[in-house]
Amino acid sequence: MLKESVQVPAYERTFDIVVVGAGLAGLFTAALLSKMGMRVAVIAKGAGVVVASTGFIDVLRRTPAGEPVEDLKATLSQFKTHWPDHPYGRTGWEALAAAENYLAELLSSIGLKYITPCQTANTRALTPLGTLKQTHLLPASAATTETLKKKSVAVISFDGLLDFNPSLVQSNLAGLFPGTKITWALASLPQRKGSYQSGNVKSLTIAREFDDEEQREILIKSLKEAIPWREKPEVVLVPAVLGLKKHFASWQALRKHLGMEVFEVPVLPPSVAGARLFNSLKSVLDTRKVPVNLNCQALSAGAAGGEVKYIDVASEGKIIRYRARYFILATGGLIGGGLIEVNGQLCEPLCYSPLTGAFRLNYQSFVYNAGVAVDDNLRVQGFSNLLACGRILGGYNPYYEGCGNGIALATAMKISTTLEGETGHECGCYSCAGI
Amino acid sequence: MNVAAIHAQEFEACQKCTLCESFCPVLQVEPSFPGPKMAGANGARLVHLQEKGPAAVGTLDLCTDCRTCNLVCPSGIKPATLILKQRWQGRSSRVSIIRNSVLSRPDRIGKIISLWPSVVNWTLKQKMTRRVAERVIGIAAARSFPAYAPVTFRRWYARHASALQKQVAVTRKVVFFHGCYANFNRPDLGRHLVQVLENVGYEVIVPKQKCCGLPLSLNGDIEAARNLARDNLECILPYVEKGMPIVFTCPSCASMFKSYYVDVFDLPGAVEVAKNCFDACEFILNQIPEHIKQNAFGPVAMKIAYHTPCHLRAQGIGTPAVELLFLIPAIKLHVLGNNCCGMAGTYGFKAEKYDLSLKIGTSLFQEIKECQPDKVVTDCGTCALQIGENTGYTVIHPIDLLFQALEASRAMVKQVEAAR
Repeated sequence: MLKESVQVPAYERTFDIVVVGAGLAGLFTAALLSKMGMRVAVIAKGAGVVVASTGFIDVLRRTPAGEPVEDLKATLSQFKTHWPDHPYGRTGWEALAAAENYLAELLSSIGLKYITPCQTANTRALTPLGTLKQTHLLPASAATTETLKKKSVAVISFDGLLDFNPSLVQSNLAGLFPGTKITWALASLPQRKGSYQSGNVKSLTIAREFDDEEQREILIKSLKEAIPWREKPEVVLVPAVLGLKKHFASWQALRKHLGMEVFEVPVLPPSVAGARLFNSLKSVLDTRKVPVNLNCQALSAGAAGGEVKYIDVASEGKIIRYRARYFILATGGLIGGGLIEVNGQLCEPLCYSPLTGAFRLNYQSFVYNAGVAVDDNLRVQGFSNLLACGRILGGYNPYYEGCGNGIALATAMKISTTLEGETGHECGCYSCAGI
Repeated sequence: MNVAAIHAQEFEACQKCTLCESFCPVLQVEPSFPGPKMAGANGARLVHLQEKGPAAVGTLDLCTDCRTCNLVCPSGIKPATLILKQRWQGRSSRVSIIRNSVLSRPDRIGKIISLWPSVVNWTLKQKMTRRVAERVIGIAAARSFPAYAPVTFRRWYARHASALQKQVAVTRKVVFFHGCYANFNRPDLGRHLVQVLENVGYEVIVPKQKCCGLPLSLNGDIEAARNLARDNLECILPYVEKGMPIVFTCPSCASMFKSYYVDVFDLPGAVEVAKNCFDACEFILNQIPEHIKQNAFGPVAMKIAYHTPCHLRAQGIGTPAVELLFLIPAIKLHVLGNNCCGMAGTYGFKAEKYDLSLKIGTSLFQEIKECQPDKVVTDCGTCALQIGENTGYTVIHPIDLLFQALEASRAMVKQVEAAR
């Protein structure tokens, strides 16, 4: 990787803004900035891990001090005074709320419905294991505690589906909802020649069958047969496989045929709900003519006088130089490759940005809140045109606080506000309309 | 050298995140395919540990080598490349069948057919011939072969080049690797590219060349494919050493030169050549400012649906054709969603893969029909074949459209001059 960085680029490309990274932060930043009429390009090594996620947007499970979050708005508003270096300390509640609204609006414009059951508090939603997790913005079809407050609930999966275990979900739920009768059953998958090696059916295979109206009917019939009607279930939980491209239609058809409420529980990767979210964001960028160039690993940056002039990118066989007025680092943390370890020391290998909390790494005291050091406008310290968003930022621990996706959205929104101010952009777009 | 050797670092970084499965176009329609994670990274691990050929070469053959998995992997694994290597390991002892020799050397077949193209074109259209072809050599009867042109590109170019010498001095030189498709099936595409480049003062050189070796490495003998690659590099390297860029109209040939010649064949000179290889639209967009300045193109009032070939996307250059076509005035451009057409070069010709190939392409065909364009545009020759056959639309190369737009601009200039 590094040995190639000395190569001479074959040619240069010029954009207004180049976003490096195609995770939630990168894609959402590009969506926000493209709205401002700028020429934006996303470059990334791979497709990012939105596809592998549950599709839920968790914003904050507990504060850095370990306190549970009752009122999100009130808690987040305190960040500025208590934890000013935390990304939420810089964005505040407003940027998060605006970002969530905008994301939900974007997704619904292409037929993927997302809801925030409670604006100022977390919602508890079901995980693939049948446990609960605190989240905020989530697919309308997702099962939450509210939807389960019934006398009888049935968990139905498909026989041979690898990525979902209904008996585990049932037994975990039974512990969580002692007042509810919870049962589970398996629906048989229609047999056909050559397909479905036993015990090896993937969630995406079934989701794509739901997209097809004929096959959808067969699957719905088989689900209907599997329901333990004697238990008189009021709600049916199924793995999140109800359609990929035609999710809403599949969900509605199943509800109609069963005559009762149906909700989805996310599955292990490859996650259908994650794929829906990624595809929707990608198609928004497609319609806005934002190139999302994959297999473009950013190798090195050229900076002078605190300004990043270009980023050199490895395509197949050669180096391409991307120039822009602004560069956005959305390259992720240690797992995503935005930060790497060199001789036990953390390092941001693209622009060598200054880090916060960058101690020597060891297993006993891993520094989760290490990351790139930025100012209040998310500008990387020491640079005038380099901004950072998402996991690469320092000052927070997404695993402990349960806030990774919320930070990705809120910091993306903050960046768009910062750049809007600097480029003198004014129009009737959502972010200009006064949020 | 053992070209099929698999090294631990090629699969070690796989996190089993299954992102590749989410995007694999074959797995979408064929659940019995193990998929890029299982067949690529996991299979490679087993082969590596046991040092013996994979048992499941049959199912590995379902891979179309579209390289979507290479593209999306967040850990830098190349599952498609690993599958390719395993196929060679499994196949080395196998006897090649007639079909493989037909499908794997389009340059040889093309040379023979071009002796008497009209007769062959007629013969290939006959139902009888096709049925026999399906029975005897396993090429799908429903599949139509691309028509062979009466005059190949190389023959046209030879005449053109000798006529050109009288004209003004050229300032810049560029090498064109036409590949088999532009030479035998679409010489007009080659002509269009030559004219587009000559227009801005380039001399286009067409060196001696063989098939890029992709069909052969997927269907037959990997050692022989490597020899083709070596021969091509020998012909091309002297030009690269003189600083000339190499331009391709075929994304598959281009991706062969850019990645497999380097990553897999590991041939001397491959790295230097790869650095100088450009997709035709990539070259025009980034190296010819005359063409991308405003008003370079005349209006083409057409509704166009553009399909991104997998091997173009795999090159990590985005979609240069889209950026160029957006510069043409009056054009209505619809960029089709990133769906594989299912043809995958020789894959869709095979009798046992034909149905699967159509199934992979179904959502793309539907999107095209819903879009109702005047024409479909794509960079890849076999994508064009598949789309044309299954939607009934005329499919052209972006260079054809650029040529048309430049002609339109010239016509406008003439009009203005005449009016004066």
